Amino acid sequence: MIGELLFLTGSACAIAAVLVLRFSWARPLRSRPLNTAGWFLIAVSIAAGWSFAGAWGVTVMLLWMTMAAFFILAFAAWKSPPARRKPSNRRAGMLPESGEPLRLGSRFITFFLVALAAMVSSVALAIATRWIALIADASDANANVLALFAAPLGWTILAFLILMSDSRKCQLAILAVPVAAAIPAFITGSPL
Amino acid sequence: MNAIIEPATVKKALSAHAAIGLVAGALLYIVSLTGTVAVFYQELQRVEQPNAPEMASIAPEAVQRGVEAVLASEAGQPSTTHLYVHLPDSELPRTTVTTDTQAVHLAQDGSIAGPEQIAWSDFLVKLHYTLNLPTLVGITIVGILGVMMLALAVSGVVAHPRIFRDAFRLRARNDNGVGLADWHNRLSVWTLPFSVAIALTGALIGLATITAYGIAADDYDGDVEAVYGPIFGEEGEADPRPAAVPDVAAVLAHMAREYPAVRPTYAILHDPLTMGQHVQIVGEHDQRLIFGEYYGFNADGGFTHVAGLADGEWGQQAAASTYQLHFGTFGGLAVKLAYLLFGVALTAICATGTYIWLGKRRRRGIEEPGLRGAWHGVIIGTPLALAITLSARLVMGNDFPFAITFWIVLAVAVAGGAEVMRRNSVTRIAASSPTV
Repeated sequence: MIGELLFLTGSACAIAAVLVLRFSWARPLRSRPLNTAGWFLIAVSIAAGWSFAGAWGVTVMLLWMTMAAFFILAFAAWKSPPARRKPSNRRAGMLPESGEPLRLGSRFITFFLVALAAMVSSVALAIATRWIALIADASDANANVLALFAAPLGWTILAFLILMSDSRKCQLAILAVPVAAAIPAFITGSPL
Repeated sequence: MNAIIEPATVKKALSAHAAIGLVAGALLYIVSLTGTVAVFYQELQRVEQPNAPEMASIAPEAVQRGVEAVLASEAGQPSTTHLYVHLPDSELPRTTVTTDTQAVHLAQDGSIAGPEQIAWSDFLVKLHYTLNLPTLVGITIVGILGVMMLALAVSGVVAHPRIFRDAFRLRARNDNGVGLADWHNRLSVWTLPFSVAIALTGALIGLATITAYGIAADDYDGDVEAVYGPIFGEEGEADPRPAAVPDVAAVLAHMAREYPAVRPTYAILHDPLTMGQHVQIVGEHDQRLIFGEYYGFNADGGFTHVAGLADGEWGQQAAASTYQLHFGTFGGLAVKLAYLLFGVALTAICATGTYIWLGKRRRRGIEEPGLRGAWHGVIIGTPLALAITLSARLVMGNDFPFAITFWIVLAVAVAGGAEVMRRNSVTRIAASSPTV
């Protein structure tokens, strides 16, 4: 009974949170009380979901929120008047404009750094993460799972940072940090 | 947010976002679309082979008879290393036995009813998992695509400082680029929790093998299985001396008696017909993200241990939760329908990103009919190729070469799209040129 109540309260708060934020963000000036109420309802919904069924409950609450937002977006699409604003022409800089050099070599090196060098670096980060976790007295299971999560997360951050940096030296330094961090693990293997 | 992110940073982030999106866009689109359809893997199997015997449950003795019959049918061949019994559940109410060399359905009484014929569903899942490439290469590439999707989420948020402020603004009725950009940005921001969860779990599953190789090389003398042992449980010691068929009926009876709230979904026999054999039950727990708990038994049906996926270390629980979270199988049809909707949105985000980029270049006077046509080919060709292969399955049977057909149709669609758009462009330019 209490479980059902928690689930219903969390679900209602999840939907209400999106509605309140929609109402708040549609105003000419944002309302701090309404914004706070919206984020508070999200917090209540997540807390109720967690109390009801842990990670499963939180996931279901997030699905409710996303679903509510989709309904609001569908309504916005339905009611949308023809837009008069001119579209953005911000250059992405992915391909050269006419007359600009292709810089194929440079592009290939960037691709190599993001797709291959970052893979090696992220695996090194995973090994370093596991080594530190074991030193911090984590169990083998927790340390290994931390490492498995560290690789894709680390790679994401590395890819973003490499593409955001201008100089090749800086990119190489970014890639070198996880490898350097893993040197103790490479030398000693297991710290235990 | 404008005050926090410098314009130069925004510009670089947009460049990074475009670079990743354009390099990985087509494969991300294929993986997103196939993943969205594969959410209904169980239902597709029932469509593909509608006449297989179905049942709400099966008696332990019938499962035992089925296991014995399948193992007897392989007498004289090299022994299977594993035997899996899929037990009937609400989403796939069928009992199916899979060995290293065959898969057969069981009837309610445990007799072999006939071969499992779900080649199209399996092709779809393989396309999503490995792009039909050799397993290690394919799953790693798909894992990298998961990383790129995460990087797109990060760079997309940084590149669009108003993305949260405009979260509900959708100027859908606009064909000059604003509408398309709004659809792309609004769907992106609201599917952000979904896309991050899907991308992270996909990247984790895809990159687990190479990460495990790295960890194994560093600390387990190259033994990759030892990396997974503390998480999912160790494999037993192999002992190849011959033995009788293990008592699966006793195992299932024990589960029903001692764990009535747990739904057994699989019985797994390791090294059957050898002295080293043992039985595992995968038991599903209600309202959990974990795919199940492993319950271990010896060959006589005596309970030995649980692996700890349900209530062991948090790392074990987290690892066991990635699969259901990725495939949307943790809440019945309602969650699957939500995954369908969000999956379609994610697929649309992948498709519109490149169109936005092409539109900007066109507005700056750079016409690229070939590129635009090729992208039309990817967007239309992928579902078309899936539809053609599914039709071929229904008309021509289980042995149709689905993978090669899919990729040929897609290649033709891409090349054809590029060529048609190029010709149309040439014709248009010729028609608009003044005649002498």
